[in-house]
This record gives sequence, C-alpha cells and structure tokens, in this order.
Amino acid sequence: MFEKSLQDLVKGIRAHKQDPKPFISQAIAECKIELRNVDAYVKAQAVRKLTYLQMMGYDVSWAAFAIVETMSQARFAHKRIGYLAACQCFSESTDVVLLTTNLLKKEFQSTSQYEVGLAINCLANIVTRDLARDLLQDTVLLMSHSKPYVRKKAVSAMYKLFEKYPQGLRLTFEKLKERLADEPAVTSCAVNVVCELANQNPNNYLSMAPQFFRLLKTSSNNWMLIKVVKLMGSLVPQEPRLARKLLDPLASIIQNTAAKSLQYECIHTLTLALPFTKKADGTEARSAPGVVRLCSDHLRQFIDDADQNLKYLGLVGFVELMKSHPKAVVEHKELVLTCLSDDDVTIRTRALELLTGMVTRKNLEELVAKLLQHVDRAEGSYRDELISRIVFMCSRDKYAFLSDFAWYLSVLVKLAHLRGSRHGALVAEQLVDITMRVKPVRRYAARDMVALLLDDRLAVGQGLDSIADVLAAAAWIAGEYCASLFEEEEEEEEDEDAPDIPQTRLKERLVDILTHPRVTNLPASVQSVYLQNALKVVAVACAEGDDEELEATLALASKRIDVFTQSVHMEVQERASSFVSLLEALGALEKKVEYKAKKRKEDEADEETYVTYAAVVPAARTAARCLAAITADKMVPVNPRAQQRVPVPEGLDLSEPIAPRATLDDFFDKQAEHLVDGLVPRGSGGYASSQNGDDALSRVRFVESGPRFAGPDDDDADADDELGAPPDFDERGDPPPPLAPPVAGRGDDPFYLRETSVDPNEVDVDDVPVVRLTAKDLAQPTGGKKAKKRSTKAAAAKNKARRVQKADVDTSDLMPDGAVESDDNKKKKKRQSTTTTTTTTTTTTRAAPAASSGLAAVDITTPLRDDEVMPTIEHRVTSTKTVVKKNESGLLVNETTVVERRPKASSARDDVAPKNNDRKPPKRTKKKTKSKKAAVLVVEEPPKPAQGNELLLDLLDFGPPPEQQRQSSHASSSAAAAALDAFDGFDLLGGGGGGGGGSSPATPSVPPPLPAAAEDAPNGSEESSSSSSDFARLFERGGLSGSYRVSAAEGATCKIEVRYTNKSTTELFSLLSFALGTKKVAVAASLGAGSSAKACVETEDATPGADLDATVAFYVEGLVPDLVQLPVSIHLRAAAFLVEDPVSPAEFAELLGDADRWRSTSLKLPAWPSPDAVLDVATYLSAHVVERRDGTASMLAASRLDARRKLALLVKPIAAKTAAPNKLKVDIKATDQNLADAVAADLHAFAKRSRGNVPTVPPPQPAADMLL
Amino acid sequence: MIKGIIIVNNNGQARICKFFQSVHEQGYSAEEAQQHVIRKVFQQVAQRPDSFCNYLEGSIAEWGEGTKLIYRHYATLYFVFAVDKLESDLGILDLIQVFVEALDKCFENVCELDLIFHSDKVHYILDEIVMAGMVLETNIVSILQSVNDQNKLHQRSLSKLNEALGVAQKSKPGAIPRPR
Repeated sequence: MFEKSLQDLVKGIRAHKQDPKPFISQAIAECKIELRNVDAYVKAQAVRKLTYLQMMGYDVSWAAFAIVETMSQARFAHKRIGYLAACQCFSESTDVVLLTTNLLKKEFQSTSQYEVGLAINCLANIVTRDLARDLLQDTVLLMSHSKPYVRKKAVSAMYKLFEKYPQGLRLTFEKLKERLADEPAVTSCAVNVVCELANQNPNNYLSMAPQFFRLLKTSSNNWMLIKVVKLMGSLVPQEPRLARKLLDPLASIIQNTAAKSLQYECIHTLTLALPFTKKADGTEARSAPGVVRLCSDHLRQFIDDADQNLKYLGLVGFVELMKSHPKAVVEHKELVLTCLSDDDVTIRTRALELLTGMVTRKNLEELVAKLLQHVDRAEGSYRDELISRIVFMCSRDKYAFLSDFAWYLSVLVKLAHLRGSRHGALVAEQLVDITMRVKPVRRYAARDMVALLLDDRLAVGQGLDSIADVLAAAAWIAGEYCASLFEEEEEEEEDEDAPDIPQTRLKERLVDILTHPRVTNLPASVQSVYLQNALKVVAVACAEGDDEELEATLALASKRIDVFTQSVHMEVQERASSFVSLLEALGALEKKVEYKAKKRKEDEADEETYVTYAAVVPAARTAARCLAAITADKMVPVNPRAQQRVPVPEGLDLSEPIAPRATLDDFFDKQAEHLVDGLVPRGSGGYASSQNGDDALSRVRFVESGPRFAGPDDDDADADDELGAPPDFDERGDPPPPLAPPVAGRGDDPFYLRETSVDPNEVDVDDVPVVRLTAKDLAQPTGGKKAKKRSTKAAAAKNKARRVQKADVDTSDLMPDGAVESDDNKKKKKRQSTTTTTTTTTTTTRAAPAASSGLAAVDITTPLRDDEVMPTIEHRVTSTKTVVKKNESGLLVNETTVVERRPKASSARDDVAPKNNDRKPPKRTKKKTKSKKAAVLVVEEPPKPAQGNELLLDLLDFGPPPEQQRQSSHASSSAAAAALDAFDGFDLLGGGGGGGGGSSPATPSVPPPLPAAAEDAPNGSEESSSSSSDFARLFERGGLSGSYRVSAAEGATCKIEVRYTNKSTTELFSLLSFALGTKKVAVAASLGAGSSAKACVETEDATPGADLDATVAFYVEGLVPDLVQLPVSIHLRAAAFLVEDPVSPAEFAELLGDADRWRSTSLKLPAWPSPDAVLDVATYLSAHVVERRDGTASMLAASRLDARRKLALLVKPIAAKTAAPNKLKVDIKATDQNLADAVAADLHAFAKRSRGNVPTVPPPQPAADMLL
Repeated sequence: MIKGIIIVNNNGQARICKFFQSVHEQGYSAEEAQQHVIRKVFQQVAQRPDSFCNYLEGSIAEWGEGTKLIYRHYATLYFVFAVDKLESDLGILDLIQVFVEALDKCFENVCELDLIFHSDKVHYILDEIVMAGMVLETNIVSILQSVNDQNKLHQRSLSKLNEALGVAQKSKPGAIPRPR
C-alpha cells in the first residue's frame, strides 16, 4: 500500500551503493504492480520512478503504454510526469507513439498555456513521420496562439516536424516567416529554425536575406544576432553580393560590441564570406583588405588572451581565415608555434592543424623540425596525431612541398625510432613509397635501413608491434636495393652524414642480421620478409665481392636457416625451405643430407663446416646469374585500384562458370610443362611486369612466359648456354626477358614514363615523369647550388650529395593496360574539381546539401502545386463504409474461420446487422431486430440518424451479432441461436450494467459473479472510483460500446476478441485499449462514426467457466477528461470450450452406464421464444443430438470438453398449463462437477439473454408455436 | 542544434541526461548506448583540468562528425552540452551559465543533492531553456517565470487530488513532493 516515492527510490539506491541491482530490480517489480493501480497518483509516481531508472540505464520500454496513460491524466502534476517520461523514454520504435496523436491534438486545445507547452515539448521530442504529418496543421495554428510562450515553442517545434516530414516545409514556411516579426523571444526562435533550415539548403532562404540584414542592423539581442550571423554564414556561399554587403556591417559589430561571443561569430562569418567577395571582374572588394586585417588582429588578440577558450577559438578562426587568406595567417606562425607547447591538447591539435595548412615549399623543413621537437615530448593519441601530421605535411599532394627526399628519409628514420605509438605502419609505408618512387634516394635509403636493422635497440623491448612494420620495410629496402649499397664507393666516403655502417663484409653482416635467431621474436609476416631479402643479399653476394665473403655468407646462411625451416609459421617455413632448396638446386649450398652426414663425420666442428663451403663457391658464382632473376625486375608502385581496372578480355564472360572438367584437363596437360619450367625469374610474367608489350593477358599470367633456366635436376652449370645467351642483368630494372618485346613497347604504355625530362611545374601532377638517373648522373652532384641551410645542426652538416630533388619523384602508379579509361578520367575530373574547391573555397562543399536529408532537398522557392495540401489525419481504423461492407461479406466469413468448429452461418440475418452503422435505428426499434420479421421491417424502414447522444444509451448493447446457425438437419432459425456467437458486453465493476441494464433489454447477460447488478441501479457506481463513473457516463452518453467474445478456445488456450464500436454520428478521438493481466493491446487510436475496431488477446491459462480479470482503458475526447481504466471481468463461457461428441445411441448408453464417473446437476430454465428451444440448448453447448423424441420433445445429447471431460444432457420441456412461456428441464451429467456447474451457469445466462431478445409487447408469435 | 545534455558528477555518475539526437550502437539497447556515451563523455571531460579550454572536438562518434562537447565544471558537477557547428561556441557556455543560475534560483543554492533527488524538476527547468535541441529561451527572468508558474499549477492540481484522496492519503509522509 505504501508505495515508494522517487525520493525513496533515490535514497534506497544510495543506501545500496555496493550493489544496487537487487534493490533496483525490486523497485522495478514494484513499479510494475503500481502501474496496474487504478489510482492515477500511484501510477504517475511509478512512471516518475521509471523515468529516473531510465536515466540510470534501465530499459523501461515495457512501460510505454502506462506513460501514455499518465500523459492523458487530467491533473497537471500527473500529465507533466507522463510527458517528461515520454520525452526521455520514447524512441522511433516505440509503437504506442501512434496513440499520442489525438492526445496531443487535444492538449493543444487546452486553455492553459503550460499544458499546451508540455504537449509541444513532447511532440518535438518524440516526433515521428506520422506524428509530424498528422499534427502539422495543429502546430501551425499554435504558431499564432495568443500567448508568446506557446508561439515560441510551436515555432521551435516546426524544425523537428520538418525533419521528419520534409513535405511540410513548403506548406507552412510562409506562416513560419511571419514569426520573424514577433516578440523578441519568438523571433529569436524563428531565426533559430531558419538558421537550421538554411544549413540544409541555403538557396531557399536567399530571398529572405534583406529581412535578416535588417535584423542584423537593428536588433540588440545578442543571442539572436549570433544566430542571424550564423545564418548569414550559410547564405554567403550562394550569393557573392551578400558576402560583399556583409563586410561593413559585420566589421562594425566587431568593433563596437562588447560581447566576445558575438564578436567571434562575426569574425567567423566574415572568414566564410571573404572567399566570395571577389567581384566578377576579379577585383577584390574595396574593404576586403581592411576586413582581413581586422579579423586577423582580433583573432590574434583571442589567441593572446589568457582565457583558454578564446585562445582555442582564435585558432579555429585562423583555420577558417587561412582558406582564403593564407598570407594573413602565416604572419602569425610564431604565435601559433607557441600554442604547440600549451598543456591543453585541444589547443595543440588546433594549432597543429593550422600549422599543417601553413606549409610551403620554403618553410616545410623548418616546421617539421619544430614538430619533431614536440614529438619527443608528446604522448598518447596526440603524438600519433603529430606524427601523422608530419607525414601528411611532407607527402601531401604527392610530395608537392617536399624539396629534399634525403632529408625526408632522415625524418622518417627518426620517426621509426619512436616507440609505443601506432605510427609504425605509416612510416613503413612512406619509407617503401619514397624508395620505390624516387630512384636517387634508394642508395641512401638502403644505407639508412641497414643502419636501422643493425640497431640492436630497435628489435627488443616494448612497442615491438609498431617497430616490426618499420623493420619489415627496412629489410625489404635493404634487400631489394642491396646492390646499390655497393655502387659509387667513392661518393660514400665523401658523405660525412652517412650512418655508420660496417664497410667490410657488409653482405655477410646483412645476412647475419636478416637471419639472426632473434628475428624469430618478430611477427611471422616480418620474418618472411626478412628471409626473402636475405636471399636477395645472398644473390648479390654471389654476383659480387670476394670469394672469402661469399663463402662465409653461404656458411652462415646455411647454419642459420635451420631455425626457420622449423618455424611454426607456415609462411616462414615455406620461405626458409625454398631458400634452402633454391640454393641447393643451384649448387650454392651443399645438399642437406650430405652436409649433415659430413657434419657428423667431422665431429660437429664449426670451423670445419666453414671449410667445406669453399667447395661450393664456384657453383655459387655460376648460380649468380640465375639468382639475379630474383631481383631482376624493379618494383613499381601499384595503384590501389589497379585490380578493379583490369579490362575483361574479349570473349570472356565472367558470369559463366568455368567448366570444371576443362580446368582439370588443362591442369594435367600443363603439368609437364611446369616441371620443365622450373625456375622462373620474378616479374617476367606476373602482375608487376609492365613491359610485356600490349597483350593485356600476358600481364595476368604468372609463369608461362618465363625464360627457361637450368632445372633443379640439371647439375651441369653450363646448361645456361644451351638456352642461348644468358640475360644481361648488369643494369637492374631493365632485364630483357627473352620472350618479351624490347623496351620500345613502353612508349605506348601510359603507365610507363617517357624518358624525357619535363618541368614539373608545367605538367599535370599525375604525369610527372621520372628522370631516369644513371650512375653517371649521380656521380655529379645534382644541381649546382649549395644546399640550403638546415634547421638542425646535424642537417646543416649534410653534404649536398645527399640531397634529392623533387623532380626525381615517380608519382605514377602501375595500372593495367587498357584500364577502363573513362572511369579513370571521371575520377580524375572529380578529383580535380574537388581539389580546386578545397583550395579556393571549402565553403562550397559545405554548402552542398547533404544528400541524406530529405529536408535539404525541399525547395520552397517554387509555388505550391495543387496536390500539395496540408495533411489531414487519415484514420487508420476501418471506416463506416468498409465495415458495413465487410459485415455483408467478409467479416462474417472471417469470424467463422476463427471459430472453426462452428458450423457455417446462413446469411439470413446478416443483411440487417446494423451494429456498426451510424444510421442505426434508435433503440426502440432495435428491439425488433432480433427476430427475422422485425429485421425485414427495419430494412424497409428508412433508417433514422441517431438523434443525439441521449438516444444512444444502449450501453452494453453491441448490436446484433452475426448470427450463426447450425446446418444440421434440425437447423432452424432461432432467436436463441443469435446469442450463441454474440459478443458479451463488459461488466463494468458491477456498475456498468447499470448504464445499460435498465435502458436496454437487449443487454447481454451479466456474468454470474455479479448477477444482481444487471437488474437495477442504473448508477450503481457509488463504490467505484470517480474515473470509473466517468467511464460509465461515457457509455451512457456516447454511443460507444465495448464487447468481447471468447473465440477459438482450445484446451487452456483461448483467444478473446475485443470489439469497440462507435455508434454515435460523430467521430471519437479516443484511445482504446484492453489489458488482460500483463498483456495489453491497443485497440484503436480513434474511431470514425459507426466504425468499430477489434483486437485479439490470447490467454494461456483459461479455465472454462471461470472469470478473468481484465482492464479496459478509455480516453474519449470531449467526453472523458481523463484516461480511465476499469477493471472488467471476462467470463469464459464453458460452452465456448465444448466440442461436439458424435456418439451413437448405443455408445451413449454405454457411456452413461458407468455411473461412478458422472456428476449430475439439473436445472430448470425459463423458456424463450424460439421455434425449437430444446435444440437451442444443444446448439449452445455444441452437443451432438443422440436421440430426439418429438412426442415428449425430449432430447439426449452429448458433448465433450476434451477426451477426458465429457458432458451428457437430457433436455425436456415441462408441460405448460397455459400458453405462457414454457420451462425447460435440463439434466446435466458431466465427468467433472465444476464443468457441470459452469455449464449450468452458462445455460442460465443463455436463457436470460435469449429471453431478452423477445419483444415484450406484443409477443411476436404465440408461445405454442415457438415450442415445436 | 544541441544533440545532448549530460550532467555528470566527478565520479562519473550521470545526474541528468537528455538525448535530443538519439544514439545507437550495434547490438546494444538504446539505454545501454546512452550509458556508453555518458561514460565516454565523462572520461573525456574528467581528465581535463579546469585550466584547459571548455571545448572538446569529435570525441563522441555516436553523435556523428563535427560534434563538439562544450562543458563547464561547477564544484562536483560537469555540465556537458554536445552541439553541432550551428551553435555558437561562446553562446553555449553562456547558456550553461544561464541554466545553472536558473537552477540556483529554483533550488536556492543548488547543490548536487538537489539534482539527485529532484531530477524531474531539473528536467522541467531545462525544458524551458532548450526544447528538443533548439535553444528556446535565454532570458533568465522568462525562464523562472514559466518554471514558477508551472510549479504553482502543479501544486494546485495536486491539492485537488488531495481532496479527492481524503485525509488518510494526505498524511502519508513523503508521498507528495513539496515544490520549492
């Protein structure tokens, strides 16, 4: 009884700090119970608690319905709680939002501005597309409400409505515009809405610019001015004249206002406007330079300010200004650099962004040097940001700002040494990219990478993951460009700045680090790279250098490789094995088996093993030619999109399956050839070979076209000669594969660069050629000029020889021949256009409407079309017409299908079923509709419209139900049969019957528990709460009725069909729901005149004959102020559960013979007007007529509930002395006493109801006729 | 547009949260996603000393690109507003100030406990300042006026209820919150 208040809940949660969960679960369980309470206060408090729990992260979506109910309470204190809960808990997927439409509509009419305000606030928060459409009209009306409080809320809500229902914008914008000339508070809201709208599609609002311009000059409300200025910022990209016009007024505000916020927004909008102030003839607006100065001065003041917020905003402002006037910003470079030392990472990040934009060719190195200093001190994500900014500055626009690649290389090496950040992959990628693209930098790179690999500090300790990427790149560069380490010996000596790497036996040293056992600590992918590159180094060692070194190298490799051949990583193992096998095959290594045998013999002496390797040196020398193939073809950068662009060869249909058989055949046929092919130099086929002429396919094959070398079984080293002159590999990068056409073919290949030098400034950046530097070129220092002074001392000492000019960069990417050109061009064009826009105006891209938003697509500048009208509420509930039609055809069929076991109904009565018709006859005539004759009469009579509510008093009369009759041989039209499938009216707290019981004799029976209430006391609701009497009154006054019936009962499961019918002539905006225990169904949100709505609830623990507690919730606009909830009792007729038991007379006798099983009840029923009342009983109980004696009119019948529970009946009329209605005596035998009692109770009710169908005066037929 | 308002204390406990732009997270309910955002917001603001600026950029992915957190730290509470680029950076800081002043007036020297025990009242005050993400009213006089009027209305409607409920209910302690 004593419910917790919100305060109690909060206290409880605080008292259970350690583990509040059990307490909260308990509280939620309590709330669930309280929500079922009829007391609005208790329910509201429960909703209030749930709102709090929702904030704590608990799901309360199950209470959505209760929230709607609370919203509809009459008392402000309650509805306020409901509205708040709705705002906090409802989402797009909350289905009961649908039910709020009429609630809000009604609330909008409230006389209290605050109630209207609540409703608007709620609408703005929970709005869905349907709500927006249905309430648009109402909200527009509120925009001209008498109270400014309501107007400002309505205006603000409009934006939220437009968001969900963009069509509404065109319909209502004029009204919204009117609000711009209202009280300041309302105007401010209107400006706010237009500002949001203009951000979506500025073009719509250009025409309003003069109006805003006036506001800008006249208003003194800073809040609103800020929004107007923001709005202008959205408009300026669309209209350059506006941009020019704004310069002076905004500048004057900046100079005059004391409010920093307004000042800042003006500066911001000016920076947005400045790019557009150029006149058509290209001249700058007169005041532009002054404005730029003003902005930059003020922004500088902001940055200088002690207030961190202003400092931040100053930086943001500069970022914007930089886009149009970079020069004005670069002046403040030093100031910005000091911001890099700020403690606040937000400020540092902004300063960094600003600096990135300030980069020019001239200051790049200086800026990067400054940033590098900060890198050392930085940590966390800021350091990553710093590093990626450095890389971005250097590499942006294909290295456009970079003038010295060797310097960049040193920067990358420095970054590579950093630990514990996630930049490793980035640095690795850059290293590979520049060495691949910039030929002259390769030898420096190779050198630096060797130094990196030799650096013992790198491969140990924490943060290995990041370093591993770099090490892999380093290994690849060192291996791939190993040969360049040994070119130009003399120049290296000059290079003082070169990293200290061992000059003697470098190859051995390299193989040593690449195959060192500690490499196994690195990730598998890195190990693989190491091994592959170790092989490349061995190849170089075979080709050059002295025998002694070669021997040592081979011995070392042989010894070390064992670890890797046993690696757990498949990839590593495979590389190691092919490493060994390849060298063994070429004779450069001793066969493993022999070697091991030898080793055993020689007592595992390491020294001895070395000696044995002298023998293989000659073989290794010969193998050099073959091995050189490994690195024969140079690597080129491949465009990431290359694979997509491979043209589909003619005649190849990719959608066709490749015949599996053909592939297999092909495989067997080719196999022999593969074996002969043996070793194939890399790149001679394969993807990377771009020099293979024009045949597109030749590029996608991998092995076929390779030259043939000595096979693995061919011990004769001279085998090469038999294959013709061995290829000349002296010049790397130009291996002439025997099968490929000569280099001349390249001229046609768009991805190969022509060998002419072009001024990089004159060509498209994508076409920048590679200047092919030869060794000779490099011998002379590039460019006669002395190297510029460097920012760091170490760099300053750098020799100019280590300078690599920009012109050297190869910015092309490898693309397949015949790549889909059009696509490429398109992309290029797109990119060009975006680059131009980003360099000149970023605002244009900003102004482009976001395609995703429907609101942005709305154009309000064109006049309204005829079909664009304000949406009106469409009833999603079936309307009068359709229902009536359905009654005639569909509905009845539906009902019979639901109630499967029922026989098909004849349609004799259906055409008169006027229950849903608003032209339903007044109740006096209605009484007649229960008999066939009267029915015909009604049809002939012109139906009269209901004359006001008082005529619709038939509270619990739900109209004649669709009558169903048995098609058995005994079937006859029976008034009682009408009651069979009738919907039962709800019994409302015993008082509900009062509303109808007295006024309508056609009222269906009241269930047994409260039989007396039906008879008298029209307003027997003294004990019930006020809300329930409201409900009763609703029934009395309005033509609204509710009814239920049990359909499709089987076992313990039964479906209860609930129907509400609006019998009045007007539409009822109502909220109808029905709850059975915890199961709640919304029946309808509104009901049109004469229409009805149905819903089904299922219950799984039904007991035949029992009563179920349920709740009817109603809210009807104009009739009931509050949402009322009434407990009702649903009587589950035992009869509904019964099914026919087709037994023969003999079986029936046998059944009855077992006397122990049966429990008997007998009852007398007052007869009712019917052609065959006896048969009616059988029909009502779904009993099978076993035997019928017409003489005594007695009948034996059988029925059953299930296999176990059976029912036997003996029905006979009691002879009457008069013509007055007869009595029936029914003997019931059932296997279960409860069943017998329930059936007896049902029969009583049935009789009463059937009797009620009889018009009292005059009786339609003589009673005697009725009997038989 | 304001995308959300979160008041969180120094220990990361949410005191008030309003999500004008709903947040979603794959595989989580709306409430869980909200809690994640609250936690993220707290983690972001809590590690910033008061000497830092009051802006945080792009840290809450759930609210989309370009969302800025603008916050103020008063005693034990962080008042965090998540806004898009159409809101004025300094304006929102002022708005937070207005909000806190309104709270102070309504609760008479507001402290965290007021927010804990009367979270609904805080919502009612906030609803007069920001409606569904749109700034509604910035004038503190108007804000207080409507808040007080509604509180009176609230009380009046409750007293009617008390009559209806009878004396027994009335005497129940703590059942009816006493508006300040």
